[in-house]
Amino acid sequence: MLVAGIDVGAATAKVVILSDGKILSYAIIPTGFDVVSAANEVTKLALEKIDHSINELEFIISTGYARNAVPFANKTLTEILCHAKGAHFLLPGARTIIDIGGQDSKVIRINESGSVVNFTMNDKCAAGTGRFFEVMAGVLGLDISEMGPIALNSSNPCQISSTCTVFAETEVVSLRAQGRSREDLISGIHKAAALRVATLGKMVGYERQVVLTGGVAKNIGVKKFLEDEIKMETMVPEEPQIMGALGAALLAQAELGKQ
Amino acid sequence: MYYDELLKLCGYEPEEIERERTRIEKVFEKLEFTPEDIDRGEKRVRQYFDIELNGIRKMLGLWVKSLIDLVLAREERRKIIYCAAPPFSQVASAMVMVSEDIYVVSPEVTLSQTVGGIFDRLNSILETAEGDLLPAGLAYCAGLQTRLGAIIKGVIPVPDLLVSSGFVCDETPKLDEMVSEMYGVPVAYIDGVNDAVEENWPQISDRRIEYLAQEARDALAKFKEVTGYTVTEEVSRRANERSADLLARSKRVLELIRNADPTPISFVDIGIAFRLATRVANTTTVSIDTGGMVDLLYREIKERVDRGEGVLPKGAPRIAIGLSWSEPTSVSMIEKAGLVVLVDMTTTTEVERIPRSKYEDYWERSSESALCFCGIKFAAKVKQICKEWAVDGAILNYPIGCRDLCISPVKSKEVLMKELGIPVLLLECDHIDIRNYSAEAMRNRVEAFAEMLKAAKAAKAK
Repeated sequence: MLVAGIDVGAATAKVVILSDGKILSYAIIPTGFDVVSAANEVTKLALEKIDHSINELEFIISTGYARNAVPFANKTLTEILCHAKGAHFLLPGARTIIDIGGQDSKVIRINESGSVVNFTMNDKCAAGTGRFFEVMAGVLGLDISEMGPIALNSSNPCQISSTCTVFAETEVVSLRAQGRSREDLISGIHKAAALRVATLGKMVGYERQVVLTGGVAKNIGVKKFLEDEIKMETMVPEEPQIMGALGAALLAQAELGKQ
Repeated sequence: MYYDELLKLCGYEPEEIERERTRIEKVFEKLEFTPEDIDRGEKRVRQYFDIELNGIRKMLGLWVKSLIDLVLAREERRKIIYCAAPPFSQVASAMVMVSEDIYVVSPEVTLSQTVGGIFDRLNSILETAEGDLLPAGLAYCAGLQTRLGAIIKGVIPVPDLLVSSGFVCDETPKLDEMVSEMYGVPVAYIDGVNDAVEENWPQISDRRIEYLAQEARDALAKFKEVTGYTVTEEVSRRANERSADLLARSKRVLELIRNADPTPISFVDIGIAFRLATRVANTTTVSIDTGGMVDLLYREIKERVDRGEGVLPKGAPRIAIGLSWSEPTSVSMIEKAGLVVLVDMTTTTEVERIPRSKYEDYWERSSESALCFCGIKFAAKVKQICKEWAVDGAILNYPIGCRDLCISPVKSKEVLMKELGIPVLLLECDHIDIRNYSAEAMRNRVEAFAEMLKAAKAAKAK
């Protein structure tokens, strides 16, 4: 019984192939302009790894911003439900999920059975999202993966606006001109983003265990500064970026069970 | 003509179209409506409104008629008074009752509901205001931008008098002051303080009531100075009775919907009907039998209820919303996600809950009532409504351009979740300006909220 969960997000498309509750394969690619192609491609990639074809998938659930554009999905669900399901599957003690994706960040509260009891999301502002880090990495001429470790090497992080990516960008340019160190700047950027997300989550409250998901969860600087802000330890699953796709696949499996 | 079909969908009779053709064409020309705009309006009416119901068609028609009256008010030689929205409605409805020459309106309400809600053509008016006194990106009220933009564009006439109110929003009197300077229009200010203590609601302090009552009397004195007409207490009482009658009839419709499962009608329709009956009909369309339209709608909905017909599945989660949108897409999106919008905190009123007034003076009694409902997102009021309507959740929005509504939803959410234990979704979007939200981002939140409510309801049922 082969099922798939596809999460076509703003920055990346992810797929998880599941069989009897076991992850057989997964893949991640940039979404790019054409969301339908991204969905096709990422699914093909994951299936090729295990030598299967799309016809063998018995149920497919799509999630993420472009969920309604996936032509071969049997059902669509929002990524909030899917992230909750995925995180709870891997870490059953999870009660709060902080998901920082390419375009938005969300804090999701779940109960002991993994059902969503409350959630909050950033609205129109990109501050505190993956896009914020992409912009900042661009300004500083760094690869985004380099930023986290550098952020931990400052004892005096710069004060940077946590309210707006565009304002923060001009602040960084100005602070750079003032001669502040790269470490202080990058550390300040992480602190600002962490503050933004931590404040967002206060709307629903934090309860242990707190799990970080989404691509930004791989950034050790964000993890550290978020923990400082919420005063709780956070856990990061092995591949935090596929939580939505995993949740979708688990829900696809459950759907198949109903039939 | 290319617009006849649209007008028929809006309840116009063929002979009425013929009779009104000259006026209609003048208005469409002034609004720069092209056949494409009319076509879009027709599609939107078919898509978002329940045109199977004659009551809804007639009400849509009344909105279109109120747009025509507004645009032509000057050339039809009427004395024009623009009231702030939300107005101290008793003052507005009393003014209009003194003579057929008097035309009182909150133009932003009519324009957003028609040019925006039906035709999706509000942007050019908003952009005109943004190019002048109210620039984009500074969180100005879209309602006020609509009013100013329409005046500057010459779509609606410059009024003879502005009745401005600052007890809900400070932005309105400031804009009216500017319009007064630009066009030499006198302003009657109805001032007041919206500083009620939440725990005391609906009790209002004597000082606030008496102050507001005097402000109303002063506004009527200014009205007399400008128009020559005196608003007597008898006229005011008659106006109030008419408004109360419309409200009572509208509440009968809401009660019918409240007790029905499946829900018989979309809240998009209830929204336009209720706003018409409570905000527009009592001032601009005195001569039309709006009460009869509300009753027709009641009968048609009752028939659906009796047949067990609904627009959403039986047992769907029922929610309260924090603000009606003149733009139908938002409420429609909520309903498409499978949620029944049962009540809008701003379209239900708790008249029976107003404490028995110790005041005998008409304007003091009216002030007490107006103050009771002015903080329309009051956490205490929101809690009471959600409790009484037994909703499964609530969606509140905080339009950043609204002085009154952008703060209280966060507090209301906290109160609803802690004290009633119901989930609440906060949305950052505007109630008039559709440029102010991303449809996909909103859909994501609304669908996630719907999934959560459905799962909770299913778990409860088990």
